[in-house]
Amino acid sequence: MGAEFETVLKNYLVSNTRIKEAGLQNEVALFSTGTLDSFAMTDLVAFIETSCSFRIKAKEITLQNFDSISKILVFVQKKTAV
Amino acid sequence: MLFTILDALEAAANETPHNTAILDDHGSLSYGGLCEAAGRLAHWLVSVGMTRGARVGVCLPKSREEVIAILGIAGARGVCVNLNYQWTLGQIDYVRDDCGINILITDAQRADLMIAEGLAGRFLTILVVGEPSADFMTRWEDLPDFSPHFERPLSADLAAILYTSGSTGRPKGVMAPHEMLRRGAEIVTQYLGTNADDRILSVLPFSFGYGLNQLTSSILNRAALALQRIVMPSAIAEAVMKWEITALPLVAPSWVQLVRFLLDDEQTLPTVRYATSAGGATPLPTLKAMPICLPNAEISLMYGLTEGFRSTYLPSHLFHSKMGAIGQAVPNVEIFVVNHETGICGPNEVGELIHRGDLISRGYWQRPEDTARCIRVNEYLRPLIGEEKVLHTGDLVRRDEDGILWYVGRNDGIIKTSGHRVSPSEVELAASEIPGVSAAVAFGLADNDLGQIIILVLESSNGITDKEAISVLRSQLPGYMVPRRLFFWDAAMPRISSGKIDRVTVIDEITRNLNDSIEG
Repeated sequence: MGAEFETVLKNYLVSNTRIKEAGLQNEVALFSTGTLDSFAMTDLVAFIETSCSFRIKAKEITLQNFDSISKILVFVQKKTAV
Repeated sequence: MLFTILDALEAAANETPHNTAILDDHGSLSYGGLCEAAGRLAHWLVSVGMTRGARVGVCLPKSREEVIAILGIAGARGVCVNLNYQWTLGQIDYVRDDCGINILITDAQRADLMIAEGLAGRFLTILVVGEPSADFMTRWEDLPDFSPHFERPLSADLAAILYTSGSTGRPKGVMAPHEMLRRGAEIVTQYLGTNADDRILSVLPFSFGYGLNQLTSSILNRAALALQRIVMPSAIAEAVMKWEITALPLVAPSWVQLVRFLLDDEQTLPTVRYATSAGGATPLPTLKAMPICLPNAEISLMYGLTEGFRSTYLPSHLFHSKMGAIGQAVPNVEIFVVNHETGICGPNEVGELIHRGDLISRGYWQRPEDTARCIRVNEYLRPLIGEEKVLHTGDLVRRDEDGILWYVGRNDGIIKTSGHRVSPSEVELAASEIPGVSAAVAFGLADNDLGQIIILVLESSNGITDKEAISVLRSQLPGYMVPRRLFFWDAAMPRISSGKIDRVTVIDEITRNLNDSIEG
């Protein structure tokens, strides 16, 4: 699912957030900069859960797992590999 | 006498200058320091030609500079327009144009993007926190060493224009005078018992009435406001522990996440003395777990619209017995439940929530027709209050035998999903672009995480698949408006006599099927 999910995730972020303005770089920080707020976080978590068919635990919602596109991709890879 | 929050700030700076006003990742700022910085900024704003009543935009991430900007603008007798840091440049430009902003305070990242998009030139003056690439902008660090000086605003002066959500096509700016902000802080203080020993966590943006109230209440009480930029549940819990937070105000989706995190982690937040939730209903499983996670907290649930700041709250002593209710009128506010055919409702009769009192805003910036629709005289209330205008919220509620109010739904079917207000007709319009679809009904279904999710029911003749339908919708709608679940109505949808779709029957049938499938 790797490359395919990356496209889906980017499309989602482009239509829901202002990340496109920041260049849609995989390393751009999403939450530590204040670019995304709590509503966006809840929505993003729900989006990933539906797209990838797994549950995300509240403990897993951390900067380490969610602060950039590349971090989200690594996290999703780990979750689907289990 | 304190007429405005600025008066409260000056009093705090004079009497308790060393008390902590702001806590952030860089340390702390005292009331003396905050007042001085705001006074210096106010002086600078006037020196660059800011006229009384001018709208000044603030687009900053949560930071001490943002707080100084909000207060400095008030101190120059300007009107603060907080531009949510999440908004796109397009949304910011819309608001700039809507209320005529000439002066902007933002950060270097935003300023550079505006230059790249050719939008920076639409402002006369831009003040930048950080290092902008353009030299025509003023750097925050280079602000001249002016003596602090406030032009004293009257309580009748506009303090802020609050643009609600900024997500739907053309958001309207709600005009909030200083009087409304000060009263809002006083009333909330009265029922929450906020005091100088409190440390309030500020997670919510100051562009929300609820978020701004944490700042005004904090200043009124000389409490400390801790600025928390990161919204992750783990980070919020950490911040509460680090700063020994006593007051924790969040919106419902954040409570859902935080409570889950705390339960998972078997952690509690013992320093919290009171917790509040507003901005949509908090789901029951979350409410039930809150007392476990917050063993020493009084929990108050609150309800209000930006247009009237705060209407009701459920006092903490009723938290268990009336769980899920929106409660009773806040102090000095009166709530009527009115049916538009028959008048003031009896117990358990559903009607629109009408708010009376001095927390009502001035209405919408330069939209007198919209203002007159929601803030106006109500004919059924004339015998009681004469020609006084009241706020028509568009929210349907009922009052139980004990006088407690319960939220029933929206008058206009508006769906509230992850903080956005979505009109079903916009989703249905997009659905009409799907090949073979002859009718569509969109509605909101309660959801623990998002408040509501969008459900779309399609009347279709050509056997189109879910996937095809969703891809058409995705091309038409921003992601938050794309329905989470699709249903196909097997035959023609039921019609009422005028030939219009019988929405109530369609929604009822689908909802019942959904409930059955969840239970079964």
